[in-house]
Amino acid sequence: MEIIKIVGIGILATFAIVLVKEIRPEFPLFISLITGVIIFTMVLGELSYVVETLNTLGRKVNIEFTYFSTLLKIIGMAYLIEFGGQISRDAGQENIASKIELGGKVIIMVMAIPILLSLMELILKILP
Amino acid sequence: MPIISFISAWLKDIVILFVLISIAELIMPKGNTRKYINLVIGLLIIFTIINPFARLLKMDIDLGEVAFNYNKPAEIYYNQDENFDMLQDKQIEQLYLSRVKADLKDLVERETEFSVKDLDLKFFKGDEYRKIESLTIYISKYEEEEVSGIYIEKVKPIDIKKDNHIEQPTQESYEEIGDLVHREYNIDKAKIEVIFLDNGKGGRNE
Repeated sequence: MEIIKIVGIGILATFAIVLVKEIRPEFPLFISLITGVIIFTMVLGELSYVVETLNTLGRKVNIEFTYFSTLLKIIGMAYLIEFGGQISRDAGQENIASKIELGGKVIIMVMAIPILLSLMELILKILP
Repeated sequence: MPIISFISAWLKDIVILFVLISIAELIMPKGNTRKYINLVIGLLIIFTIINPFARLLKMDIDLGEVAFNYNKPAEIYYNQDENFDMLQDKQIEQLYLSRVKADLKDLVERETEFSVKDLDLKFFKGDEYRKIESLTIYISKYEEEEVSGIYIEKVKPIDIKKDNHIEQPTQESYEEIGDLVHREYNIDKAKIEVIFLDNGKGGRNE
């Protein structure tokens, strides 16, 4: 059961952080980082299954499939950005977190531009 | 029809896309990046909705023709015949007359000891055509109707008398019938005439 593993790891990490915080104040950050990476990798397998299912369904739709895969890529990127930003915040680096988020947003916008362009092209084609 | 298949394919695309987007919404992270993803989703939806129109223009289908000629009801010509209306009125009148006669006959025979042989009815003309103007009732002594089938009755001895007088109904009987019809049908008593038919003689006695 994946969920039990995930919850177990989370609870253990929390205990460890509470215990270690008094002795070595720099350790909790590492623990939370490692815990985050472990949980993320565990969930990644399940997430890839969902994304693959969405991909399969997306092929049945008559829209440009690349646009739908772009959407999925954007969702994946958003996860990474959130993850990175959260770790930076945990370490008390709010500035770096906001920079990560900014970079992520820009890249998301860049990826969205082809969709926007093709949409504009389509509208111009339809209008007389 | 190409237009029907076109619309069904279009609807299918929209429905599947919305299902996919619902799932994508579920797996979306709930941070600041959410609104950017929503923007891309919005663009994708608009693209999916508009995209078939471009194909429609390529197909060169005249939507107006399809919309206005589809399910066009067949034109029906009504042949308005004046004779037909007259005939219909006449039939209605006859039906009404026969019903009233049957009703009157039934009423008189049920309430009195006479049987109705015939009825003469006159109706008002014009708008009040349903009202009875005058009524003549031909009555006779009540007799059991013969049952169907042929049978031979024994011939009774015939007694020939000079005075062949048949018992006439009294004045009260006439008035009784008149009252009855007046009460039931609200016809002026003066307009009701009751005539007694002398059975076997063919004459009419008033």
